[in-house]
Amino acid sequence: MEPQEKFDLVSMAQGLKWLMRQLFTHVAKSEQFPDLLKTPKGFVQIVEEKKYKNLRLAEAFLKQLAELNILTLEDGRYQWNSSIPFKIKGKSIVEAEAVAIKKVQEKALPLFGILRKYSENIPNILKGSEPAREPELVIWESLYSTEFYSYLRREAIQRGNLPSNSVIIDFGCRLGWSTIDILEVLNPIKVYAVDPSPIMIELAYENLLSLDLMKKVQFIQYDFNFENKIPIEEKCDGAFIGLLFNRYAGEQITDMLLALRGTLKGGARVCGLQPIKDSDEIVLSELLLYADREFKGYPEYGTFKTAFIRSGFTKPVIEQSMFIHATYLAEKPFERPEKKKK
Amino acid sequence: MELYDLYVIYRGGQTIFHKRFGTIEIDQDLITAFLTAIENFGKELIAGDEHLQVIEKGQSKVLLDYGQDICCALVCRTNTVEEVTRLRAILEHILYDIQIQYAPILSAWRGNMKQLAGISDIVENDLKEIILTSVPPPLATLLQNPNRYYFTIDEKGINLYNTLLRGSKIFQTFLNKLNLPIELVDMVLNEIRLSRKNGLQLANETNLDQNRLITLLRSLRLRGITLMWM
Repeated sequence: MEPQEKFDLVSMAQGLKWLMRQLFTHVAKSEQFPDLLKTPKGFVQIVEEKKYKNLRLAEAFLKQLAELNILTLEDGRYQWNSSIPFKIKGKSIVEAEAVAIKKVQEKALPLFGILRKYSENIPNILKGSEPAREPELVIWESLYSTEFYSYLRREAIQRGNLPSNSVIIDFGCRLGWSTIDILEVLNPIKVYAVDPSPIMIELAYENLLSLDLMKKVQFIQYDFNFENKIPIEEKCDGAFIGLLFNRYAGEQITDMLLALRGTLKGGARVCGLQPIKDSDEIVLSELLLYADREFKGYPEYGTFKTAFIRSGFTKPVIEQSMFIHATYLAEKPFERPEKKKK
Repeated sequence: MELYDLYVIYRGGQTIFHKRFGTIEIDQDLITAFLTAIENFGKELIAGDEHLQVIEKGQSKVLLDYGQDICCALVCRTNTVEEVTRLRAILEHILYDIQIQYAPILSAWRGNMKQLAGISDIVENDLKEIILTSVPPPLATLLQNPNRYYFTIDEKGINLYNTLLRGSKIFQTFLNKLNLPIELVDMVLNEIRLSRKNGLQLANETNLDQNRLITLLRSLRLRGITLMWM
């Protein structure tokens, strides 16, 4: 496997952090925080005045505003940080920031639009509205097909040591872009591209057909109802999972892995792209994503590790908080606990 | 999740609006007579003021919502509780929007269908998001019925096409396969921007090969750029 060209992840992270800061500042201003928090106020008072109903998100939102120095937090009370506009940055910091922002614009421009849309909806979500998701696939395709996302997926594949010239499952293939990465990096014998969304599979099929890549690919619609077997008879040599665990939580992750193991040979490698956090607290990079109906939160490492081990995999290795890999041990079948009937 | 039909039924049982999303044709009067009969039977059998909310067989359902003068019935297929909740919320929205807009007419309606012509716009607008996330009919079905399916594009679709799709490499590869230049795509979208048209009309107006045109329109519908209606 050829090592792929280096991508400046540090710069990208810096650019994204700048973007988040801009978005959060805008949201805070739209929520009238400069006036509301002229004098310090506690969490309860803010929630009552703003009529926030989603208290977990509201707490995370205010804490993140404090972390970004948009608000100050002292003795449990928040106040608008009116000194922000007057902070002077050094020339080298300004230049580095400009380079970082340019990098994000070049390599992941659709993220700007998507995150901005999410940020516009966050106040409604805080007040109890249901999250939504842009239905137009063209929006998601523009994101999944960026150089940035492709780099991250390929990095996950390489770090995960998925075997070349083998049979691979793309578990949660969405619009087929991860399948394309698998085909180009690993030259597999076959790829089973699995997704619950029939419309995504339709467009993925069209994409691969356009690129003449359908020869080795079989698309499977699987509704991720984990009590049903995944309809793949062959035992596969590896699996790639791309940002799938964002859409499931808790026991569902174990269920997902238990379903997946039925399609794997003993010793099969599993790798993926999945931000993992070290506590249950909502982190900056995920806060806006709660405006998306599908998003359930980044998995916390302890829960994530337990899910892998209980399902017969090795303890997952997490690199740079987002590249995951593990091995399927094919030990004796795990006794799935009986689900309580509702 | 799949939508089949939406009925708007006036008190007394007359269908005042019907939208079909699936390919199976059923006499709409038969359906509304059945729904009215079931509702009346339910009232006779089970005491209480509550209306029938759902008729269910396997994953297929008829969701019902009631207003002062009308009832809305959505025939659909769902896989999860969340999908049912979502569709029910949309159905309530449709009912509400129709009632708000047509309240004075509905309270004393004498059967003039022209007075209710705008219900179609309300339904299409409220169901747009669901339609965009559902799979369009197979290409073979569209090619065999070029005059049955109508295509439209709204301002959001135009904006998405111009900003995200027009310059994309994968779309260009797709067009190369069909041997269609991007300028022809622009032309087709301009045609359906002004009024809804079916594949046959568009092929005649643009002098494009009908099969390639319909393949293009289906792809645009998949991507959420255009809308498709029966």
